[in-house]
Amino acid sequence: MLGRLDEKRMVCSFKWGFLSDRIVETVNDYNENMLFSDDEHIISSARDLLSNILKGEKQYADGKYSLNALESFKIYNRSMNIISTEEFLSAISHLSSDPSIKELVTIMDGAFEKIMNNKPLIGKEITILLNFFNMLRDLTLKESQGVLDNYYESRGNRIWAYPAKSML
Amino acid sequence: MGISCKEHVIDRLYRIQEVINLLSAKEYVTKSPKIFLDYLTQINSLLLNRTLRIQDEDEVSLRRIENFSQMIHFYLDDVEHINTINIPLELLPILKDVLTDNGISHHVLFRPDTDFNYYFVNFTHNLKEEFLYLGNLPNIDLSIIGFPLSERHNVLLNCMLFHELGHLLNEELKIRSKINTTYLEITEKDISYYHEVLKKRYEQFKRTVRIDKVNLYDFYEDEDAEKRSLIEDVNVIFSNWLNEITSDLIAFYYLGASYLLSLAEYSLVHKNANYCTDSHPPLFLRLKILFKLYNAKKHSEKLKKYMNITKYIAKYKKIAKISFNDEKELIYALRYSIIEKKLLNLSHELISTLEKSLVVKNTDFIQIRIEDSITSILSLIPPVEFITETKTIHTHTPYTILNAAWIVKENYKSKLYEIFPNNNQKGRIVISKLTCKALELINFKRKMRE
Repeated sequence: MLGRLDEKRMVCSFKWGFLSDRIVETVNDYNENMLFSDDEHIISSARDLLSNILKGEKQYADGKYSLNALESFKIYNRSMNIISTEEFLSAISHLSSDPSIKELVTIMDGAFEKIMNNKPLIGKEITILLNFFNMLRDLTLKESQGVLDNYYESRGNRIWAYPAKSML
Repeated sequence: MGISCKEHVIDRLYRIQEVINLLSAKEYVTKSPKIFLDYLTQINSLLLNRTLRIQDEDEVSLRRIENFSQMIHFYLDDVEHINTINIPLELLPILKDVLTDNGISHHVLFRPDTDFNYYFVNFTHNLKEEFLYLGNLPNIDLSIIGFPLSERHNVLLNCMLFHELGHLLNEELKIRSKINTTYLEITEKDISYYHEVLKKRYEQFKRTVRIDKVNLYDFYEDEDAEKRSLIEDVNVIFSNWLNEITSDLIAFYYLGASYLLSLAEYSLVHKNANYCTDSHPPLFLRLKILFKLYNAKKHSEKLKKYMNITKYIAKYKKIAKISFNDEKELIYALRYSIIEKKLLNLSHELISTLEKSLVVKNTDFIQIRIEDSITSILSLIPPVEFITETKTIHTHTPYTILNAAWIVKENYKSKLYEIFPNNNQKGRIVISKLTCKALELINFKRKMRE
């Protein structure tokens, strides 16, 4: 059985992970002029996630970190980790140099609004959206895989059929 | 991933469903396992539908579902271990009453575990969050409470189950949302203090070792990222420790001294009083805050005639005086001392919030009738009933019995040695059996009356 703390760690990883998987699918489908009926719910949830990122940023700027708003700080922290990577900055370097999280969130939110109103997206919007959410997918997958790896490693003297880190 | 990874994931989900079907065919003593298995069927079905929609080359999505299928394996393992002889049936009615009294309708699965530990998982709450973007799950509430298999018959130690139930009450009654938010904040000043101390330590180290070319900032790849990570860690630890302490207080509200004694026995056998993790505060801090409630409810007065218990309490009060401030030389203690200070500031508000939020019907555990319970146990009779001066027969409450059992165990050791002269352990096992029997009989009597 996974420990309680591990399960709690997994909740956010899976939640944001499943959401970002769906967001990337939806954006790709939209580009191909396909949208499904439940995609509206996904876009709305994506905008809530972006709003949480800004709430987290506000906490950081105010210097008061509330337990009741821990989730928004967590998603802000992960977003900052994503946008400060060389990989992300290189991917959008031709669009913007050293963007702030607020600028990026505004662009992404604008793109989602266009999708809701059936308007076409421009290249910059698609690039930022896909790069950001693909990296969030990878990050959340690594987190949940990391919890599972630690669980197997913590089981002491067992010799596993496959080394934990290389399972599938 | 390997060849036909999508097919592999689909196959795995079908095989999981076969195991769910097999387990569903068994009989269980409560409804919870089958409800749990139906729920797993729904989850499996959502995962399968999702997998079928995924494009073959989307490794990330497929890996994520594969990871989740491992979680389902763990849950199936939980159900596999449930059978009647392994569940502490004598305590289930009392635990259920606590939920009912507080207006909570929630299924609880009790899981005997090979790990020597007690734990709580709000299963459906976690899953509803994780599955928000996959589809709708049935609207039921189910949690899992784990306990050590080897202690299944140790009803005295199993008072720890009330702590785990405390987690459920904490979440369902939304205790945290009722606390003034100022108490739940960690500020920039708290975090900066930690950074400043680190910098001072570095300067001291540099002077001692004379490594002029080493720069503090070489250790920080990105100081902002380090700071954000620290803020998140400290908040997560604060949140976890607050949950544990809230659960301790809730268990104490219902059980009184019997919870305090079971917590101390379990923790001190397990680890020393200073041991802590990101998920659990050290025993000294838990006791420090528990004793605030203990003193407020004047338990010392009620227990003073039981000399050994009083000695134990004095020992635990000494442990409760330990503080992370005593270990300022240690870097890890800095982080924890921020949280210790916050929790102590918050403790009065927390106790006051719990006082208003919990429905606790039995408020007097150590009352005059406890002596009847103690006498019964020492006479090797299950302490079910007592006769008043007016010759009317009454039934003891489960809480009185549990407290009486702990008092006999700790305060009447010499008496137990007299009864079982060649076998010290037998006395303790017999106390547990008598207590279990008393709780079963009380429950039986109740059912007869309904």
